Amino acid sequence: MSSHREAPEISKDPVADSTDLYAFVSPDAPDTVTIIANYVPLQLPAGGPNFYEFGDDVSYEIHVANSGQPQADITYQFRFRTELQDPNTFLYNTGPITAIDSPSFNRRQYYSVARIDASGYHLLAENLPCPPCNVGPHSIPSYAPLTAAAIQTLPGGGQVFAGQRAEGFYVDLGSVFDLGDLRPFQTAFRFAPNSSGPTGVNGTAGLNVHTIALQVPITSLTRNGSMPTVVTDPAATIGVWTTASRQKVRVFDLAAGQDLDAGPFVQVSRLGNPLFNEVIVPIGQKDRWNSLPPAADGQFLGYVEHPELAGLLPYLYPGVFPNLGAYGAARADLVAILLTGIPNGIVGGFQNYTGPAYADMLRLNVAVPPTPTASASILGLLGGDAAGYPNGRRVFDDVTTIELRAVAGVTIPLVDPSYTPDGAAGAIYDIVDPAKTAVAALGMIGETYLGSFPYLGTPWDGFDNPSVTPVPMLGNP
Amino acid sequence: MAEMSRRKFLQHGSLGVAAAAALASVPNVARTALGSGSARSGAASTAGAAGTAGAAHDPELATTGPVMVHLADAKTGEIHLYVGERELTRHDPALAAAIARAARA
Repeated sequence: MSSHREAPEISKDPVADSTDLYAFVSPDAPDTVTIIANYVPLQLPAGGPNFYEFGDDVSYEIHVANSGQPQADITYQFRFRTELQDPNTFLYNTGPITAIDSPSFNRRQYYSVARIDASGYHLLAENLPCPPCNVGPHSIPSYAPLTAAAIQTLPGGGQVFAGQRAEGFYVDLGSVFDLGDLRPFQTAFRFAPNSSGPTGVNGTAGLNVHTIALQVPITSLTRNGSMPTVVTDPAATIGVWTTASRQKVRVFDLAAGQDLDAGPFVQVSRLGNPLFNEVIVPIGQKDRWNSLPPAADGQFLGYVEHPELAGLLPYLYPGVFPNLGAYGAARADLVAILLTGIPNGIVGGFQNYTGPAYADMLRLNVAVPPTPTASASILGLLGGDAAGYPNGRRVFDDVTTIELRAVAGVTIPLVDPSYTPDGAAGAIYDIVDPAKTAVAALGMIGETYLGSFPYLGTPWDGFDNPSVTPVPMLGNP
Repeated sequence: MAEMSRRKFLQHGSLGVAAAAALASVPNVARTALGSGSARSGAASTAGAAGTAGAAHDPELATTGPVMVHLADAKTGEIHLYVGERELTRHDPALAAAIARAARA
């Protein structure tokens, strides 16, 4: 839901559908930044006979702005190609896969990664292998070694990975889009409640996603090659977003048995902040938003200043949000969080301001040191943890709750001290109470993460998932 | 112009073939007009074989991969060509008319 199937047309093109973007100072390598761009949403692990893959006809890109303007100063470009070892079988794999180049691994993908910056186009690596999708324990007795084999070192420092991983984003998809219902607060919901309980349902539990993960030295991303250590240093904040593009023309050539593409690449998907296109941009504008660069986001300012969801919450939960319902001023707090970054002096000891230009980008201040995962707050900055969202985004940050609470008004006092948030604004959540849930406890809602690159957990295997147990199980770690 | 369904027209992998097929049935003024117009993006068009005999033999017209032609506006002759990762725009009323006739064949 961070950006899964968030626009009408891209929802019909899952291969080019960006689902989540993460950017954080690597907790185990704090001189590096990790950027993760996920695509191909909501993958059922039992996805055979043709398992999920990247698009050979899609150009995937990760963009970094470091000059104080919402422009791509650095772009990492990923292109994929698919190879069949044996086209005469219906099988994805013809036997157990015990290595990334096992002869039995039939339908494989390889990719190239290039960096484009002021000095031009630089091919960093090519013919890098993707690991197979996690078919099941008979096909893949042990998956972890394949992940390790798929992590490649980049020239100039850093590492890269592309392949299937466990979905790291959690949200009660079923309830939140059922007219904005939050299961833990069902008793206050306007419409007849159909369930109750202290927790929501993680709609992405047991599902997989395709991940492009990049870990590079901080000095390779900052405007002057520096390693900022002062939070107020303008060079400390970078803006990050991901895009997917397709060629302008496609002919379905039945005679040739293939699609023919021609023309320049045009952008069909974009993602910066989680949930921006999901719940801020109206449905009639979502596909157009996907085609535009962040620099064009000034035209969407009104939707951020007066978000529809802020108007709905008092209606959906009568009597719960009286102060929010009475507040009519433009939401300068949300503009700061989503479109400009938070200027210095608003939140003590923190800023991630990139300038006055309105642009949806994930803004990461690399001078803020990472918080050890064991003590991290999944509420990020709202939980007093400046290393978390909206300072970039870590894989375990509860962005749904953070943004719900922000929209509900907890952040208004940052820009309007006269406003008192409703009590509920600081208490709502959609699955588990984040104040009582450490990162390690997210396993109980089916989330799995790694302490090192690529940080997202081993993909759920198809034999065991859909799972007959309440929490997904992994048959071949 | 010989019978050319839209499918066959689009299947031709050489701009030279498509252009030659269109040129075969238009006056000489169209041959010289082929090189006019501007490229929307990418490198300049290589289809500038104006006035030369045997446009199909021009090595610059040899391409790899498919060439897509979009007749955007038959009245103004606006034609978009998609080849490789490029989009080229031409304004050629005579060629546009030939394409339109081919589409009606």
